[in-house]
Amino acid sequence: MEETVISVLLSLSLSGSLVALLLFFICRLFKKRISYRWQYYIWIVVMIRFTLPAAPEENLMGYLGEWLHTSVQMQGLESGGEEAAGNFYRQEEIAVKGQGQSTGTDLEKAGRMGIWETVKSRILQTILEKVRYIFFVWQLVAMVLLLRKITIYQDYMRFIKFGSTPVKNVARLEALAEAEDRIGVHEAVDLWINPLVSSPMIIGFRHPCIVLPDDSLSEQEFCYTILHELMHYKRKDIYYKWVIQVVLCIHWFNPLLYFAARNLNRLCELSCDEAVVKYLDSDKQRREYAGTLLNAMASKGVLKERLTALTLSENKQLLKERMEAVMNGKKKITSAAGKMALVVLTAAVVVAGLFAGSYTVSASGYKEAAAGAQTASLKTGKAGKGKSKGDKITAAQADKMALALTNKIWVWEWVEFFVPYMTDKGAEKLLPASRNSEWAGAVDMTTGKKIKFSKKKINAARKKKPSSALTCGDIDGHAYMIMQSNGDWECISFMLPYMTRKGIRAVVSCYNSKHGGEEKRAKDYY
Amino acid sequence: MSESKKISDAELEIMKVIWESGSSLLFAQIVEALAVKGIAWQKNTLITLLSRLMDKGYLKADKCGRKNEYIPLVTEQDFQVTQTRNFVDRIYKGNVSGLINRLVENDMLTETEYSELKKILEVDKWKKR
Repeated sequence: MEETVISVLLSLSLSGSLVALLLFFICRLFKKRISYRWQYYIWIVVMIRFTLPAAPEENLMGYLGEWLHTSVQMQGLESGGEEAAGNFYRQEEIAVKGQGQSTGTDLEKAGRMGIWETVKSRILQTILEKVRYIFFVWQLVAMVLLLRKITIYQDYMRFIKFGSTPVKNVARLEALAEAEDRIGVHEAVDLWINPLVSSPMIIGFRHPCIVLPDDSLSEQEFCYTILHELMHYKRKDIYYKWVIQVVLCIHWFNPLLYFAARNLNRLCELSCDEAVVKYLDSDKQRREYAGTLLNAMASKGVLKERLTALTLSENKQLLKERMEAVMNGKKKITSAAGKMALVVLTAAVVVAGLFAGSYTVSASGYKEAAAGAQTASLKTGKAGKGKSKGDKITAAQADKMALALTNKIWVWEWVEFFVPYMTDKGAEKLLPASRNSEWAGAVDMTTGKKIKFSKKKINAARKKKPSSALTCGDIDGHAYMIMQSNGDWECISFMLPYMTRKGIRAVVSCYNSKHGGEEKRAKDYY
Repeated sequence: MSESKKISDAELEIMKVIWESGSSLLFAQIVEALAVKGIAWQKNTLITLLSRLMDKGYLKADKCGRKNEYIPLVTEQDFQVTQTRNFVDRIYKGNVSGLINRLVENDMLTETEYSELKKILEVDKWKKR
């Protein structure tokens, strides 16, 4: 489990970073030409890439994951995991190595792999051994960070509310209501004064409230200030900010994301100004708005704005940039060609996000969805991507395999393996199936007793509660064990659809070693 | 009276309208009643003031279909009592006779008010006995 989570996490972090880098590059190139609005909201794609472990079938992280996996496998390095499965994989790797040494071309390949491969697998080995600790540390830090952010926010809100007084001046409230109408905010926003805040801000998710440092603003300045704050509310910026904070907590180890978060703060203000300026008609009004920004900067409170409170001005450099942007006013793309270009750019970022992809979950998710198609492709010999070790086996699938095995051969222990995972109906069918089997009534050569499936045995096996679900990795081990015992292909053929490629290779090489004459190729069963 | 319970002039106007109605009012009825008094606030201003009154515990809102019905939690009498006590405490250091002295001295009571006050005091005296 830990291994899966960590590999998904790392792949998300990496692919998210790639898309973020692409976006930085695009914004660098077209900074002056694309609206801040686009630059701000396009980051949603990146945030989704950072959090959503879904991707198309073929993607960069998928390739990377496969490449890493094969190298682990080649070097015979498997993390602890379940004892049986671990042993089984090691055996398989020995088999693979053995083959490699027997033929010249494979030897050459092994030589070419050389130092780089050794180093790579060494690193991977270390990671895999420590994966449990890595997982633990990651989880702990993420939790602590998130809790800390939430409590800081709550404390801050409490502090602000405590020191605030509602504005009684109805004229101000009327001006606020007018501004709300003007830009289309339907909720009634409250208005407070708190001398402790350093600059105007809007707080609250459900019951928004604008907090001003004092009541000294002129009518005009007041109007521009609340327009800006209301615009934050209208655009639901606070939700966006919290999404970013949550992503930051998950990917706390990724420095690029901190950089991106700062950039997003900047873009949040810039695009908010951009939206406000749309409501200002003349150059004069724009100048006045810019002046208000400057004044807000001058008045200083004690409480530092933190985290996700939305403040009017954050620092001088940003202020300069914002004033320039406001004064330049309406720029940017208006032509049809320009709009097309924006659509293309958006599509490019989305496609990049899709292609960058994510590891594991995409692979297994795809596999589960295509379980039926897998069986079909097996028959036609077409290659899919194979199951992964952690894929779960459903109860119905366990039924199918157990009944097929019962029909084929009568070794209770082999069937018993499936019994705890079967459905009730499936388990009931076991006894009748064993009577109809061609092996019914056979005698155990070693004990001389009739081998029989009894209800008692089945019920006892049913009672054993499996600690975890049956996985493809388990099937790999079981099939390999059966193949080693009797070398009968028919006894394991029905398990192939539920085995990993690695497992199939192991069974095939075992089969080949027992049947010198008729060689099978693992590829045919993928 | 604690700071958080203080009521602003605008909020008092709303409370008066609701008290005068005798029971509870719908939002639209409050708007109408205020308009009669010559007050025409915007919708959101009124919503803000109403929600402040609810925070302070003067009002509660019951959903009446999709509309809000505003119900007073404090009666006008109770309000007047606390306000008067507050006033006497603040200005006359809790001394009621000081207040009456000022009223009488400065001819702030009319003849009828004076006799009414006298009657009230008589009845109260009798009650206490």
